[in-house]
Amino acid sequence: MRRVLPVAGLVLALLWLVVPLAPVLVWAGAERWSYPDLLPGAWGVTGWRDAAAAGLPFALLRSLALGLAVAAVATPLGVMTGRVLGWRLTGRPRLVVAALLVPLVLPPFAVAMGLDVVLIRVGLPELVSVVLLLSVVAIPYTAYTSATAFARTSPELEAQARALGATPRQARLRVVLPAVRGSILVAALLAFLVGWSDYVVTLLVGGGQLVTAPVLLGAAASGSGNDAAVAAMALATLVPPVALVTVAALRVRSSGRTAADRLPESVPPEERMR
Amino acid sequence: MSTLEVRGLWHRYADADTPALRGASVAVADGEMVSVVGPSGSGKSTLLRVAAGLLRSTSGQVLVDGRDVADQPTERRDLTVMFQHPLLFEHLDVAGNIAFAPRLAGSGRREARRCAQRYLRLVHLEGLDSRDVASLSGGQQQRVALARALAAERGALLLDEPFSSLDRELRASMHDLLAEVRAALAPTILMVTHDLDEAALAESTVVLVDGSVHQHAPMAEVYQRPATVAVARLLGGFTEVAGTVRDGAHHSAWGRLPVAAEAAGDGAAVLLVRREALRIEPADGGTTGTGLEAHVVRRRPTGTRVVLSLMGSDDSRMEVELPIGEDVGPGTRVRVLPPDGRSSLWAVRGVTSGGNAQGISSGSHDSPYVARTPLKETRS
Repeated sequence: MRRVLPVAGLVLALLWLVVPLAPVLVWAGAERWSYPDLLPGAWGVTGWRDAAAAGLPFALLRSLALGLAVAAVATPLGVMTGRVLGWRLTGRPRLVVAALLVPLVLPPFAVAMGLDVVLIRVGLPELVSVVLLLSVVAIPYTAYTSATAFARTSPELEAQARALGATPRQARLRVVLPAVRGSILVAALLAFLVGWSDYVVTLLVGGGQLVTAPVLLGAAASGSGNDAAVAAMALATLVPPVALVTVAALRVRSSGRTAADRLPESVPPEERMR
Repeated sequence: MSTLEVRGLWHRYADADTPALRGASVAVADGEMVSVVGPSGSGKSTLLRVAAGLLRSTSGQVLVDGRDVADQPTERRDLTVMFQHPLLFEHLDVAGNIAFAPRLAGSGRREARRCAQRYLRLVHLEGLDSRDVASLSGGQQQRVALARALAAERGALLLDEPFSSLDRELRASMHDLLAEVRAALAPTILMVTHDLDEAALAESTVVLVDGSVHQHAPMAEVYQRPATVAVARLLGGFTEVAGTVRDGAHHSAWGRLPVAAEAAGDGAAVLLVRREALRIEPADGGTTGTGLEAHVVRRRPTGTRVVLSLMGSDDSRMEVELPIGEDVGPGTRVRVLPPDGRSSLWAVRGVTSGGNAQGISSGSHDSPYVARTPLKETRS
């Protein structure tokens, strides 16, 4: 019973994720699929052609650029905040945590509208505003991921590097950051996903000028009636982040296994004085 | 290598009521090793961190080869630190760790790794240069940490309880290794430790209590002539006898006992007697004169000997370590006798409520116990 429950839970969770994707997968390869047929009457790539004609490749490139820009802004800021939290360098950690949680607690629409007004008054271009706003949303993820990594890493590492002749900057770049590089990678991935998959902020603040993959998908899904093209867009939007997450998970898993393999032996023969 | 000296260091942590260091001064000669001992919270590690520049002192000087580096950042102080934990850089292999400082100093990769090989041989880990540091045992990691610190080729080496995380056997092997390294390179070393046996590896030992240096002398002298009651309590195994020194003798319930000429001058003084130097005889043995009637409260076997805890007729407490093979049961009435001979008796100025060596109350710096000499270096 102890083993059955977790396995059943895992299967249900997978089904929860995969079942909604099944019709999308089928539609993406369907030429014609009439109700009440269980499977499409004809297979083809018309949906992909229509999606490409609607600007999917460029939308994907814009999403890629947006994701990278958000990761580029949110990751270093999150790592700096995570260092402060993880190493308890602030006397008011709760204040920092509260500030980080604001974008997650408040409705994204309200945050986007509120900050949009501020950014418009400052006179920032829309694209920059979108990147900054999404970075605000992404920083809690990058900060918490980094904070966990720093909490597991001794602050003495930096002191040790300094004692060996490293300047503060060299100590951070050559010792501390490599020590938490796995978590920084995960933090950057999360920030990238925030930028890649955003719809609300991009649409509201971008004013419809910045057509990313989710914006194109949203527009097509709400008005085109071309289910095959919508499915192709959905699939194209879905595959890159899933691939990235899979690669990251495999890397984390392999590094975990390597660490386990490296557990110290009890007292090896070399330990003895010669 | 260089000389290292800290002079009059004061430090107070931001959230502390009292200073962690109160004018502490220590000097280490070129190629010499000095150990620092003290109870928990006495400021040992703070002293080392201030010397290394990892903490800023409120006032005082840190001199490396006579040059005051107190305002310099750690990396410019011409000294390096080895901590209690190896703190190896896991993204670098063994040689990469040892070559870290040479690389920072501008050596090429190949040259730095050649240098690493040299120090690996010194710590008996040749052949492990390409090993992942996480695959090493605790002892091996600490050897790599030592090699890395030596490869930095700094003027002085600061060791912060470097072997305390190792088990006894490994610690002994690291002590041997340290002796080998000292014979080969003669580094200037300041080592903080809580292990009195480890401290005895050094030429001299500084006893730090409540941020002040109570004594700086070779360990044998510290054991024979502790400068204060606090030092005696740190060492353990002393019986404290309250009384007064007058005309070269200590007067107390134990009688009149001559004290060493260098001991406390006239006035209230505490006689400090090693428990192994005390003797007992049956209470009805008819001995009169010096000594004190007492009864055994508790017996504690320690290896081949037995240590007795006794309550004196004046309600003072004391400990006596019996010779090998002798034993006395609890409740037995005995007479505790001081050691024969003038040289064994040592008194320090101060008063005590009587009783045996006990823990020192940390945080209290208004101790009634003061050294016969001022609280400064008393090196011989």
